[in-house]
Amino acid sequence: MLHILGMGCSFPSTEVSNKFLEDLQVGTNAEWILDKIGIEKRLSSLPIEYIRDTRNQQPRKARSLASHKAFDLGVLAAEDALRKAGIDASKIGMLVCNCCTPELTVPTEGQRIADHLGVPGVAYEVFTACPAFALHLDFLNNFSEGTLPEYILCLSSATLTHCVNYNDRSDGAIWGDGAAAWVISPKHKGKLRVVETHFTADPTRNQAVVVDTFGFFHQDGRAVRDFSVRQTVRLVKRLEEKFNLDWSKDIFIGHQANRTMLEQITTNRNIPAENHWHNVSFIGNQAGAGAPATLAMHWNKIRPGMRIVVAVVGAGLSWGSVLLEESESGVA
Amino acid sequence: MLHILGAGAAHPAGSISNEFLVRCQSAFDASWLEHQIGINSRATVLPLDYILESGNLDTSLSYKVATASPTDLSFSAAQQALQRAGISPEQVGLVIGAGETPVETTPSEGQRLAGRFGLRIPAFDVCSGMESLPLHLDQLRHWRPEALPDYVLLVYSSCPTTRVNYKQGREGALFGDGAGALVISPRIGGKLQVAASAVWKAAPHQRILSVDTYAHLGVDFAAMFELAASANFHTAKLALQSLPTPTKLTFIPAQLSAKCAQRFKELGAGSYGAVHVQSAQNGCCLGASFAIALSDLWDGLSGAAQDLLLVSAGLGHNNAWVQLRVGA
Repeated sequence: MLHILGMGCSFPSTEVSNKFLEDLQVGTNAEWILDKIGIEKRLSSLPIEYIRDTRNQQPRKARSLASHKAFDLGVLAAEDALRKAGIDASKIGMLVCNCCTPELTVPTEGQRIADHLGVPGVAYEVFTACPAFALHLDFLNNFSEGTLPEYILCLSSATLTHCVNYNDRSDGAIWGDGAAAWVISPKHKGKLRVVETHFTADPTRNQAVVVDTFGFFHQDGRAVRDFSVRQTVRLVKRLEEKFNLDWSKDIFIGHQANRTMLEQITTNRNIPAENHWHNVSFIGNQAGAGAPATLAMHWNKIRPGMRIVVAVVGAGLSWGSVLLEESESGVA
Repeated sequence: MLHILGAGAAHPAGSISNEFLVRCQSAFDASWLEHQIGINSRATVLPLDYILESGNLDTSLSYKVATASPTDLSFSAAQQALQRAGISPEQVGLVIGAGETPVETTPSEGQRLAGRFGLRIPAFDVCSGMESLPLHLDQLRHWRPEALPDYVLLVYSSCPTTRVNYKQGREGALFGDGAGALVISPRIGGKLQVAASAVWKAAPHQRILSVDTYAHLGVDFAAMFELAASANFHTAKLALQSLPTPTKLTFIPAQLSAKCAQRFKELGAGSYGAVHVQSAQNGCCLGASFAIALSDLWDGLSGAAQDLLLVSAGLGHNNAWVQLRVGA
């Protein structure tokens, strides 16, 4: 059985507000963004002047100007997670990473982060973009007993604002940069135990969400939005039926893409606002980091016996869920 | 126990000869290419006139002119692997991909490839550069069998020529484009069994190989031959210490060039068994190399018991070896 011992997250500091996007005069306004996407501001590692002056029309330049790359955010998130787990990087026997905006493919981002931290174990990418939290835990949950190392570090990091065309009225409003990390163990108990994991995909729709290596992010917005709401509701309903969830006590965390969409989901499932944890409205969509970063930010709010549903959807198209249960108190 | 039921490979039709490289830049010497590298030609998705005129100095132009994408190649390789395995794409239950030169950083190569076959199944990437295939086999060997479907498709695609600077540096001598694929099963027998394996982090060493997402890849030529070959041989000896004496052994070492394999043999591997030298016609295809090698050997694998020992060290973050048993 896997346990999560600690979680961390990291974000850059440049705020890209709705007013800023309205002032770019690309056909959007602050009110529309808040109403349709539910995001008030997003955090970017790009200089605000660079976005305003160039609209990032040459995305390859963004990397050289950014305050943080995915590697930097990943290192910070990992250090945060290790500190909160109370273990040193030298104890990590395996590192798996998910990064949509890698600087290098050899060595991979996870391998570079592992080297920087001094992780002695194997490191490699396990990649699916947005649903990485579910994929990583499902991937690791499939190992036979006794075959995983004592401590494993999982990471998701992305600087998708580097891939945004700020002349596009929608894309600029969506993305933020961020990283999340979580330390897990098959042997040692932590604050959360992993009750169930699930991951699957419909690759026939893989071109619905794309990040071009040399270009921009682009997506079929309407199709992806419909898919995201529908699939998340299905994931949650399945867990409700299987585990008799109680939304007066249990917590929901969805893919941090769009707060308006998340509220459609919570309305559909009668999840009260106080039990819906999110961060998208003030950070933006951080791809695979969004949901685990949300959990990391609410770590101290986890109460005895609490169950947490993390249901994530995204590129691939792929989706998955993780059911977690508080396990330190002995109540569960 | 994992079984390999089929292996496939694909290369683009374009070819970069040694004579062509000499035309690209004066630093290339025909004698050096023949005797120090041991590669006669390299498969490429790039038109030769594009390489000659531009040197591929701006890598962002490479995919605009390329004759095929990495996924085009992995699709062809996968078709061959499925055909050799005797199964249809619809029987595959999981696709895992890997690649170092994607046209899109999202979605994953596994998802692009599964989509080409019209499959609605779990698909994602597990990437670790040159050692991706040995890593896949090692990690999946440790999964609970019930967590794996009857058939899993593993695909590897690389177009490193799209990241080579043909006006400067000698990397153009090494790399070629290609894809490989395997069909594996945890419960249905095949021509090869994954008998044993190990993966561990390599000791800190010079970074011999790096592949930038946007820019040109780089190779430390000074370290390449001796460091990589000796690391591979050391890893091979470690593997042999933990295995029963093989009946007939063929090494498949990670290699940037035929000369690397030659050096691996000279260091002592040759006294244990044969050493498979990657095709002198296609160049080094990075993480696709192992699957391509298995595909090249596939039709000749039969009959008497024999072992293949995949060895990857010195060229990546992780060291790995995998023992494949033939005819078990």
